[in-house]
Parts: sequence; structure tokens; C-alpha cells
Amino acid sequence: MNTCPAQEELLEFLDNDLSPQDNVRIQAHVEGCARCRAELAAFRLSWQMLDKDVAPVLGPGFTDAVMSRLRQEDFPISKQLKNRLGPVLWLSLGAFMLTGILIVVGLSGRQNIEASLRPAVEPSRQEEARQALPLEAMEPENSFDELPLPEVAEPAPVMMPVPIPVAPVVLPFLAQTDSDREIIEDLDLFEKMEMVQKMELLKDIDAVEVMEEIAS
Amino acid sequence: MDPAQVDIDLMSRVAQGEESAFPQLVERHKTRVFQLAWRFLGERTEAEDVAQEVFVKIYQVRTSWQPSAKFTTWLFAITRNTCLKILERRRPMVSLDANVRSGDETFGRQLADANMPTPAEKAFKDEEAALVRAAIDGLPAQQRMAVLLSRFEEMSYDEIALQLQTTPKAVKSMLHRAKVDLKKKLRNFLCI
Ligand SMILES: [Zn+2]
Repeated sequence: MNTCPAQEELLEFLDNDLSPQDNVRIQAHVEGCARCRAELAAFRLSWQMLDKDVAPVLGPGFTDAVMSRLRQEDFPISKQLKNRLGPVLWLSLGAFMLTGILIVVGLSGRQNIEASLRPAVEPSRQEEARQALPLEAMEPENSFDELPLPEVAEPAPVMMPVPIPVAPVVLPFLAQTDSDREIIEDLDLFEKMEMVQKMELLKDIDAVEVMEEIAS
Repeated sequence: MDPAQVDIDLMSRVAQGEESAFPQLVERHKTRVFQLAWRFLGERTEAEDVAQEVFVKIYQVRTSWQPSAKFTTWLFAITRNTCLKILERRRPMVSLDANVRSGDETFGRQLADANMPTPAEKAFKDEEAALVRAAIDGLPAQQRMAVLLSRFEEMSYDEIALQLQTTPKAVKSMLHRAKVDLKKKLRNFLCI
């Protein structure tokens, strides 16, 4: 009797994965070798025995549960963005509103100061200026900046709308939830990044407009 | 109609915004997804979570779906990924010896046995099922998935390679190692 084939070869024999010549050789060997027959049987039976691992059955409510989760979570892209960025968006919005409020408060503070200063400066010079200048040039800043201001308590600072650094916070936040993005979420992520960038841009434009409005 | 084509039709309808086609897709595949997850993870609640997660993900990305591959290829790829995430998440909490599982978990499994077995038969079956479960659990994750896809989904080497992002040759070698391991662990229960 020739030497017994390696396990690898026996497995290839079982899988019908051998060349015709090797197949004949192993077949001939196995017929004359009880040990190899037992090995083959053990491979075959242990593989079949995996059937004993009987999986449980899902409950009847599974599909409904999936559908209700989908409805709860609402999955148009915009909603997905809202869900994932919820806290960041609200923070950004809050910060932006706060910026707006501070601008308004800062400016009204300045106007109050200016108003309170009016009687303190020489009314005759104001009157002269009013007569000398056309009406549209009568901006308070133009007239008062030239005048010496008395010492007053420091006015509330006028807050400039500093761009809120959302992007560096948002992008790693998105990335860490997407470990399997190579399969399904690349596009998704890109869309969201684009939206965040657009939002940043809109916010900046908004801020500039607000400032222009206030300045005029 | 060819089942693969039915899947493509249903998924196309979902992608076009027809929400009512989605429950049909879930119904068609929920058992396979759940059972694969259960066999891989060995835990019912986690397997149910995985199954839900898989269908939610599919729905989330429905508009970017392209019918270029079989729907089930996509489905199992997402299932595998979701299972691996669960494994990663629980890794620090489990024993390094994958064979060690809580008795409740192993013996609490439902055995699909329509005939009422005698207590002795039941004990034998339970023991047999527990042994098989432990043998499957004891395989490294990648080998385990290859075994499940081959044994229960009847996938070819090529199909498994696609799922595991490796070569058919690597799959063959992975399965051979797994078969040697399983034979060794289950041998005492085999009537040879
Ligand atoms: Zn031999």
C-alpha cells in the first residue's frame, strides 16, 4: 500500500477538486485503506453535523419592527443629516443666534452711548454740520467720529460674527460612524459633507448681510 | 420568475421611492440574515439587532443602489460587516477562549425538533448541538463566516471570496483549515 495522502488532498478529493489522474490515484488508495476511509467519513460527517446547529426562528413582528423603525427615523437624506448632525446643528444655530443677539446688543449699546453723548457735545457744531452736509451724508458715525469724545465707561464691544468652526468638529464626527462606508456610505458621506460646507457658506453670507444692514 | 430578478425588481421599486415594496424584501430575506448573524454571533438579541440594522442600512442607501450585482451579494456583505462591528464592540468584554460561552446561551437554543424527545434523547441532542455550536464558535471570525456561507448559503469559493474580499484560493485554504478543525472537535460524536 502506498503512503496515505495528506488531509489537504483528501479534502480536495471530497470537493472533486483534483485532476482526473489524482482523483483515480486517491480513489484507489482509499478503497484499500481503512484509515483514509475513516478520515474521509469524519470530514463528511463533521461537515454534515453542522446542521445540528439549528438556528432559532425570528418572531412574527420583525418586518413591522423594521418598518416602524424606518418611519421613526425617517430616512430622506436631509433627515439623515438632521439625525446625525442634530446636536451640532443646534449648537451652531444657537451660537449663530447668540452672535446675532450680541451684535444687536453691542450696537444698541453703542447707539445709547452716542445718544447719551449728544447733549454733551457742542450743539452748534452739529447744527452747522447738518446744514453743510446733504441729508444722506448725515451718518452719526461720520459726524461723531470727528468729535472729541469725553471719557466714558468702555462701551459694550460690538461682536463680529466669527465663523463658527463647525467643519473640524463635524467631519470626524461623521467619519467615526462610518466604518463600513467602503461598501455603502461613501456617497452618503460626501453628500453630507457638501451640505455642511454649503451651510457654512450660507451662514457666512448671512452674517455679512446682517453686518451690512447694521452698518447702514 | 428568477428569485434574483424578483429581488432586483423589488429593490428598484424601493430605490424609486415605493416604500411598500420594502416589507416584501424584508420578508424574503429576514430569516437568512438573522440566522447567519445568529450562527456567527451565537446570541439571539445581537442577531436580531444585526438583522434590523442590515435592513435599515439597505433602506438608508436605497437611492444609491445599482442593480449591478446580485441583491443577496450586497445583503450578505452588509450582514457580514454589521456582524463584525458587533464582534469588535464586544471584544473587550468576552473571554479570549471563544469556546467558553455561557451555559444559558448554548443550551437555551431552540432545537427544531417536532417529535417530543425523551429526556435522554433531548440531553444527547442538546449536548450535540452545544458541541457543534462550540466548534463553530471556536473558529476564527473569517473562517467561521466562510464556513457559514459555504455550509448554509451554499456559496461557491468565488462567491465567498467576494464576500470576504479575498481570493477563491484563500477561501479554499480557509475552508480546509476549518474542516480539519471541525473534524477534530466533533470526532467523538461521530459514529465512525
Ligand atoms: Zn491511507
